[in-house]
Amino acid sequence: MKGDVVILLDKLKDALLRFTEELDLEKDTDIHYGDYLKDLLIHTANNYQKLTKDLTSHLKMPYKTLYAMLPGNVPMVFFEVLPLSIIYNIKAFFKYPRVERSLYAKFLQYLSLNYPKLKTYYNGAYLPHNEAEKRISRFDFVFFFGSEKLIPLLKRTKTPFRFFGPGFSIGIALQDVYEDFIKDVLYFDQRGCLSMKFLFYTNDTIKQHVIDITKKFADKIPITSIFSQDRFTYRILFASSYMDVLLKHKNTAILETKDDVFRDIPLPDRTLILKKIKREEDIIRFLGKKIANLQAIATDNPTKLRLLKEKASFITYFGRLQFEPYNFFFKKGVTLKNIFQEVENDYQMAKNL
Amino acid sequence: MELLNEVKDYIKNGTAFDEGLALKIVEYQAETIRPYGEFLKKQTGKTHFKSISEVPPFPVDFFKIAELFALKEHKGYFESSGTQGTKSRVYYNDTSLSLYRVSSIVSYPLKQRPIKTPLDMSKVKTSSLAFMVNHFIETFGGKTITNIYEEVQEGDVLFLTAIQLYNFLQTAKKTFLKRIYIVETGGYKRFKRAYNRFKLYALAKNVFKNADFYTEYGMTELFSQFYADQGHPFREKHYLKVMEHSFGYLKVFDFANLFHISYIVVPDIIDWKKDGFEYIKRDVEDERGCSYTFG
Repeated sequence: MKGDVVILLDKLKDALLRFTEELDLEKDTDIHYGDYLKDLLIHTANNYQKLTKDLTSHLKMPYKTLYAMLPGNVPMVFFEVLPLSIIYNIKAFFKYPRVERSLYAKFLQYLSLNYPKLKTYYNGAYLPHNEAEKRISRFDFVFFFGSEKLIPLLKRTKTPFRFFGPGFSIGIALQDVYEDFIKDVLYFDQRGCLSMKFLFYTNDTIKQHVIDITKKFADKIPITSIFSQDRFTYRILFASSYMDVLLKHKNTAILETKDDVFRDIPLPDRTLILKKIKREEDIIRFLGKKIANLQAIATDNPTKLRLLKEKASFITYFGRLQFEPYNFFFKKGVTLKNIFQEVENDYQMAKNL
Repeated sequence: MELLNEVKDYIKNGTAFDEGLALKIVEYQAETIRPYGEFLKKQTGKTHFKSISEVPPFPVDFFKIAELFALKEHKGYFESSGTQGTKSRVYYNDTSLSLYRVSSIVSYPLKQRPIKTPLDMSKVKTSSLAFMVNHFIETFGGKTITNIYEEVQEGDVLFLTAIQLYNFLQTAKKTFLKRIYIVETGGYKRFKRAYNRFKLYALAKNVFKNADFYTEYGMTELFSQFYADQGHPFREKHYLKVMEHSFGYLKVFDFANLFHISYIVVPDIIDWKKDGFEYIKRDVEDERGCSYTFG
């Protein structure tokens, strides 16, 4: 017999699938990621069901309320946190970012109208920074998602928390790239940790293929509402002094570096950095200490990677980088069972940096 | 040095943007500042240009990572406040400072009035702002102060940062009735949001009842300064030319930067008005998502 938790997760899946079906991307002008967003939402909804595999009842932990500070331009995080509330029977409050706030509000409104029992688990609002910080103390546990900029806030936070971020993802083309690899790069303007920033390739045919695909899709994959043309141009000008410009479209670029170790400079959005390699060790050497922030890898042949398997949260095929596996919880080593445990490395990162 | 004298003379006596002299400066800088020459070659394939519109502006962030100085030896460097992370360094020696002195005085709109300032002048060798204000004090008289009410006299110029002015207003217990001139010299980045000088001055007018407000917009990487008097936008000069009159990053050609780089682009967003520009804010990525920030 199905337990409550399984029934509720089924309902959540049902709600998200229906919501996605009814989502009018033409009408909702502020939600502008096209059908890609719908594909991601359907994928996430299907993951909800997989989570029920080993569950018969709610998991236990000492907290009753969760505060989730969501990042901007990474819309899937919200939907990935939703089932945790049900699984742990914890009420979640989402602090929306400016950019996707209407999408999240719309979904909670949809639950309110159609799945009132589910809605009791969630609330959310877009808040000014100081108000968002003030609210933290009202909750038992916090999920912080975001970049290094959150660190001062984490240092001030006395409530137990986990910090997810920041990270970046890479591609490794051993024999070729698939056309869909460009989705890994351009959707959400590389604002997510599952966006591809670097592509390591092994032969020049691949390089040309990457350029051709990027040319073909640069205009088709929309920029986000906060894309800055000035910033893009400025950073291209800066970065291109150290790297070769293989493609410079109006808002998309491909640069290639010959450096053996990455030169740490500000990178433009919607810009893929290419690096030719012979073996996996070249990638490890190139990324240096930054490999600690490596999130995931997309490739044409996941089974071929030996060393990097241990370094990344997951390895997937090109075009699937932002489709998170069901057992992925935002960071390597985090599982459904330990996600509400405040851990030393999160704490250290927040307190010492 | 012939070019130095030519530039000094142009700053003092010129009236309109001299494209020929600007191109001569770009060529000189490309020859003498290796990273700049490499930058131009990489971007355009050349270091000689027929029109200034062919020259790409040089991102000011290069000052954070490269030594950019045209002369053989420097005797020190000015350092930016580094409120956005890594600090910029602009190297100098007596020759380049002589140009700074000329240009800063020509740019300054309140000549001959004594200057009173709460700025920290102990940093005169590493802060271009302190160097400049110290030069004004040496030229026009004045001193550093700790008490605005007691030490600022009728007709004085009170030279201070936006934060200093704001903080003073927060604790001011009485009005200040002497007729003075206030030059507010930025520090906008510390506000961490879009800054509106008019709102600040409206607030200040409640305390400084008889003050005229001027705003100085300068930075370590520029040896000339923009000024705006109350109600007006920042005005460009023939030797400090805004190269794109639009909304976006500031692209400026400063002839006084002869010994570092003259044509730079700064990630400060400006809005061009009819006869000058308004400073909007330093461009920072406030919606970074959860991606790692390189650089």
